[in-house]
Amino acid sequence: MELTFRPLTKHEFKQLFDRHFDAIRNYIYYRSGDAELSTDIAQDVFLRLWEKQTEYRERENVGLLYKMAADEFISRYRRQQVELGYLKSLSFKLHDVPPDEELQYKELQQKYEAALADLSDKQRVVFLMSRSDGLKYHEIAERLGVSVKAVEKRMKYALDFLKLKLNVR
Amino acid sequence: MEKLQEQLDIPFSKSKADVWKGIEARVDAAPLVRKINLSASPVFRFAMAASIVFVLGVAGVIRFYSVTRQAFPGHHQLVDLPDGSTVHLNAASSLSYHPYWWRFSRDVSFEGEGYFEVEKGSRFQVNSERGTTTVMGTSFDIYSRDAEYRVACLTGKVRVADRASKAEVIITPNQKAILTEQGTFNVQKNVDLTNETAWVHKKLIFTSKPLNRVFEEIERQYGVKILGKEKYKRNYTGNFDRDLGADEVLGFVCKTMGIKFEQKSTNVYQLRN
Repeated sequence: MELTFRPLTKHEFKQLFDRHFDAIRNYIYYRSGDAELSTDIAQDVFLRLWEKQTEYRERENVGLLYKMAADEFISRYRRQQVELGYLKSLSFKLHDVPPDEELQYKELQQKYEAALADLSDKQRVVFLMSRSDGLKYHEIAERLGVSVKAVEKRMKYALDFLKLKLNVR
Repeated sequence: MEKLQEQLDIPFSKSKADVWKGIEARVDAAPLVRKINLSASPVFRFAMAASIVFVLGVAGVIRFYSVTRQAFPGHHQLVDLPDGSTVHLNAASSLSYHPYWWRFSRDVSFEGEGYFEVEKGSRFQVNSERGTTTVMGTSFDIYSRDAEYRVACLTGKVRVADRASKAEVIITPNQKAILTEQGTFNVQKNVDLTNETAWVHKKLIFTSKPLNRVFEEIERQYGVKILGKEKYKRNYTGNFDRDLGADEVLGFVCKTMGIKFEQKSTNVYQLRN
């Protein structure tokens, strides 16, 4: 039996990609701390979504992208853990920093990266999705498939922990 | 901290635009319309499985649903079959058939004595413990009790077969086939069949029949028990109307044969010399 319907057009697909590629790649980066792996997985899930030729429904499509990315990460992560052991660290690079403050920033950055690496997986992901990607709590909840309450809770723990570690405010 | 965050970038080696180029190349290569294989979807598979089970279930009901009609001792029963054929069941007889399967095969299971009037049509088969009777459309009488099996043909043609030895005979009107203990058929020709089907018209006709058989028939016709009947083997001949009561018929039989009897309770009689 065969059925045809109007699948995602290239234009719509491009739109999805523009809006969500960064967030999905970042999401995997927050979990893995591996920039190459994140790019790889993000590219992979977008291609897979295209190959599925589903209809264009942004919310469902995005939910599916996150789900596929998370699953893919877990399956690769398991494999990698067996092969090499998983390197747990995050690193960022600074941009547009005034030269006179650079040293101060560098120092803070190192503390920040170490503190982030010490956070639990779930708390780190929620924290960074909110602070770095500027996603709203309900958006995070939807993408991770958890309740808004859970997001709020993880966020609170992450903030408390970071404040303690960084001695700020 | 907030300020720091604004200054931080993830050190991705590949830019978003580069990634899109890679994806675009693949996207342009892939066909836009894909055939969806519905049979792979779990819902479709479930629906398939469910409909197969449903169809099998319905077919099973149609094939195996059966109706059993019974004439209890002391009663006659007229059974109408789905195609208009009728079976008149004598006392203590039973018949079962598959009403929904009837249009495909006219098969009935039968024990006891019955008078069949079969509508013309496909093969009509009556299975009893010892024998099988097959007709196309005719009327006939079957007697199948204990080890006895006999069939009398009134109209049309009737094929009678032994279930064990597979021996078979075809009988025509006014013939009677009696299955012997050896599994062969004894065919009597030019039989007066009014006696054979007299029971249909509420007549009890005994023509030189062993007394114990006569008492058994009375037991069946009236739904009574007659104690001490087994030792009487003499032959008896006589006609009765079934509308007479059990005690009257018993009275006639016993009087002529010099047997005494007494009524022990409503439906139980005791014979004595």
